[in-house]
Amino acid sequence: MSALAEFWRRFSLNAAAVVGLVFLLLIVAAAIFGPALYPVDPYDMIGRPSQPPSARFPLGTDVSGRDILAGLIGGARVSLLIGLVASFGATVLGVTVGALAGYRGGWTDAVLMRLTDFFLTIPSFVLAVVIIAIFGPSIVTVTAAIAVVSWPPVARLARAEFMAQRDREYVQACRALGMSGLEIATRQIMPNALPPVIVVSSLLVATAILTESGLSFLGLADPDLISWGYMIGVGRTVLRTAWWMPAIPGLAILITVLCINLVGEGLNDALNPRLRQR
Amino acid sequence: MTHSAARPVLAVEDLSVTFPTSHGAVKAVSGLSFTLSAGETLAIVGESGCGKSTAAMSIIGLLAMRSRCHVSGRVLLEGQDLMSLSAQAMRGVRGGGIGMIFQDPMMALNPVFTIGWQIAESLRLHRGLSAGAARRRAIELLDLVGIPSPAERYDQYPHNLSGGMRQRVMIAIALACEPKVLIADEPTTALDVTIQAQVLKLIERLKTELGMAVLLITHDLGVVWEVADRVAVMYAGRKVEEAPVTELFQAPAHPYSQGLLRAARWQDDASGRLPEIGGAVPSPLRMPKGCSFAPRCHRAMADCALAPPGLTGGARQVACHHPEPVAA
Amino acid sequence: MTEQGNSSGAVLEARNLVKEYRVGSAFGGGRTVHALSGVDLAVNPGETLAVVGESGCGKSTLARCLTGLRDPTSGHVLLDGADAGAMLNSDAGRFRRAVQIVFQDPYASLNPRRTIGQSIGDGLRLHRLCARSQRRARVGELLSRVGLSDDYLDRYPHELSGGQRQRVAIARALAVSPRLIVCDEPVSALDVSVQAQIINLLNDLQEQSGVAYVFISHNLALVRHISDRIAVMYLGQIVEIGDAAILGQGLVHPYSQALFGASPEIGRSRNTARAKPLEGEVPSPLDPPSGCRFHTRCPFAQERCMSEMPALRQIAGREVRCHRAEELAGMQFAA
Repeated sequence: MSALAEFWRRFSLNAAAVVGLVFLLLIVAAAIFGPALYPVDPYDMIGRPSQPPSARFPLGTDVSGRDILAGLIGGARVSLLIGLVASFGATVLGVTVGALAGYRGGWTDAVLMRLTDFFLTIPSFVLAVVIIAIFGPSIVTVTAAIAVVSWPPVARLARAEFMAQRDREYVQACRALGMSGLEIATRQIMPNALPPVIVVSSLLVATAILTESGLSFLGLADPDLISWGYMIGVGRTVLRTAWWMPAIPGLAILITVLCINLVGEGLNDALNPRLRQR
Repeated sequence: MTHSAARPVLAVEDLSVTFPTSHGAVKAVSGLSFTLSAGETLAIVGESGCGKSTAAMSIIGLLAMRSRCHVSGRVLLEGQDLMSLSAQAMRGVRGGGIGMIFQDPMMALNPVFTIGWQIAESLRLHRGLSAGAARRRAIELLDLVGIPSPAERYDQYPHNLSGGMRQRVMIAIALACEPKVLIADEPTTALDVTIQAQVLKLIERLKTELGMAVLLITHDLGVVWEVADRVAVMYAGRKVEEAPVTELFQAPAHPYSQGLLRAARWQDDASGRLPEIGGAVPSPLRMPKGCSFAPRCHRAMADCALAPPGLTGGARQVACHHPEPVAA
Repeated sequence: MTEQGNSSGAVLEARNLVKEYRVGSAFGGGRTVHALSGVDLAVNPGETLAVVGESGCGKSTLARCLTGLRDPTSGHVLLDGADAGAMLNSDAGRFRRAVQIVFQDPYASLNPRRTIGQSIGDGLRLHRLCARSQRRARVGELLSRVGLSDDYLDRYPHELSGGQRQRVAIARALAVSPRLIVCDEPVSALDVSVQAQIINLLNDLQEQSGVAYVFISHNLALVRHISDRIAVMYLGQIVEIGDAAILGQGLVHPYSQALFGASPEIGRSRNTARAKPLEGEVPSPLDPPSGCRFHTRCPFAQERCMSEMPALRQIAGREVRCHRAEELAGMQFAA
């Protein structure tokens, strides 16, 4: 418990991170409880198209006459879910590859790192587009595609951490006790290697949301789901007559990504203090 | 030992260093005073955390730049108070009046410049030498500190050199501007014994040839015995004893000096065990009200817990309520 | 104890141990580091063998080969006369329970994210040495054996001082009741007054349990105090080995003489102490000198020393690797 208290103490020293966390929690709460508090179906064409904000439609309607506020709330669910699941997948994949490469070393390392380099050299957005083009746009393929293009930096970091820990004396002591490689990697090294990885994967959530938005904007997302990127894509045609239509979801993305980055910074301060007591 | 009558080159008076921490202020050095004459080696000895390195850093004003600590007291270099100098003037002192070498030369040398350039740079900056003159002088200095084929070594980078050679380069940089005082902070701790012997001999030779005063900061009593003239023992931020080396080693008066010396000799006591100093150094946040060594002291009495002992005067100083009687 | 071929009665033996590894082989070239070049030694039950030498002499590599953390390039480590390499493949637990290691840096040798109790309990758990329900009590006993109360069970390493951490590292090694512990510079990272505490602890444990130590160190005063036998290493080879009592009367190999002579010693006459420190530096183990490896720095080197490698020979009650050992022993013990 005291470790948690210490973590919170260091995190809360970063005021911007705390502000980011508060806003992020508000956004998450809106995604979870929004539909209950504002029970309007975002897929229902309930008004005249392209209305400006009014009492009935607080953020107006889009070109098909759907409520933009409802879309924003529904889109938050889709964008956050894809962002979280994709970055979780990328983290699991990246840590597995990085841990294996860093702990085993030798040819395992060489093969896995060339594979990682291969993924790093392909522009990730283009690769995501190709994957979706092959497997068809659905929420599952979009999430998987984002995860597949996001893991290489995690793998590189995890590998570096595992390599640094591998030769530490506490690991040698475990080997001298006859501990298996699997247990050393998962129970001994993993807790020490994970903090910097957590920081990077928290930032991956932001990148994943942006990537999803880009894909939706190009019409490569699940056509049956409204996400923020989809809303921008729909609104771009009327940018000159109804600027708020793409601007509102754009602002939502901007704030969410900014908050995630601030929280990531705070996590970095809390988990990787530069002057950690020896 | 023959210079005790000479006017001191360096005099430190009532030096105190306080660090603010999240748990309260910590006094790392408290009321430290000593003097150092030309051609003399004073060793400050103590265990980790006793404040010996902090004291050395604050003497050359490196501490104030690094952290938000508070330094008080006076540091007089040939009568001039360094504490009152501007940052600009202090840089001049670091380049000319006082040279310093550290435990880890790799930390103090810049890895992307050749060693020769780093010495020459110091000469150009502080002595105003031309590039050619600085190069010639740098090669002379490399030769002076015993680096073989100095002209070729001039163009090598720190990573090309062994630990002992790097420490020699550090000494050459410190000597570049003919300092009056050389502060050596654990100069041989990172080195092997045969290399340590070479470096200590070098410092000794330079001291005699150049008439420098040497302030040696170390935890190694063997090194103190072999090179120092006088020794000051520090414990928990305070000087607890100061005396000429032979006198202190033969008859330490403070119980802490006694314990330290017994431990450093690695000789069994009557029961066939190594003598220990029981317990541990008190946390700087919870210093005892009285003598800071009292909780570990086998001679402690009731009055030791009441007030910290003052330092007796003279050539043999000791801060203890009940010191071991020493034949004067 | 019922092993065959264990005529010497040693717990652990090294026979012609060689460890070489390649560095910088990016372009197929690469160079070979000769870390150990034919080391023979035997450790008897309950004794302390000290291994001294400067950095690069191979003493840490030796520690890791003896504990099965590195495989030797050639040669053998024998536990009770049985080959350790084969044992680690067939019955690793037996070797791991017999041989343990304590490292130099107590800050790096404990996992910062595991409690003291977990770290010490690992050995009990892995080797099923006690029931799970009794593990905590057993760890408490181990802590009390190293002079710590069981209040420390649930603490993390960062809450402990260096000396306390080293006690924990010793308790971790003791958990499997080893017959030999390799101590790799166990006190050199600690303060002088704490060093004495740890050495006394190691001595007490040896008296209680009869554990043998291989004590790697560069502190010569300490080595003289703690060891039954001393081995001096230079560039991957043992140059002098013998009983501490006999070596205490005087050293024969020029390197041992220089090493012990260079070590600062309280009470020695101050002016004669550093009359002639050894010149030069230890040559790189990438490219060890031909012949006697010490000839580049040896004040007694002759023609023969540059071409012909001396063997370890019995002389004056110890083994010495020097062509001129007889002469030097004569000079040493004449006065």
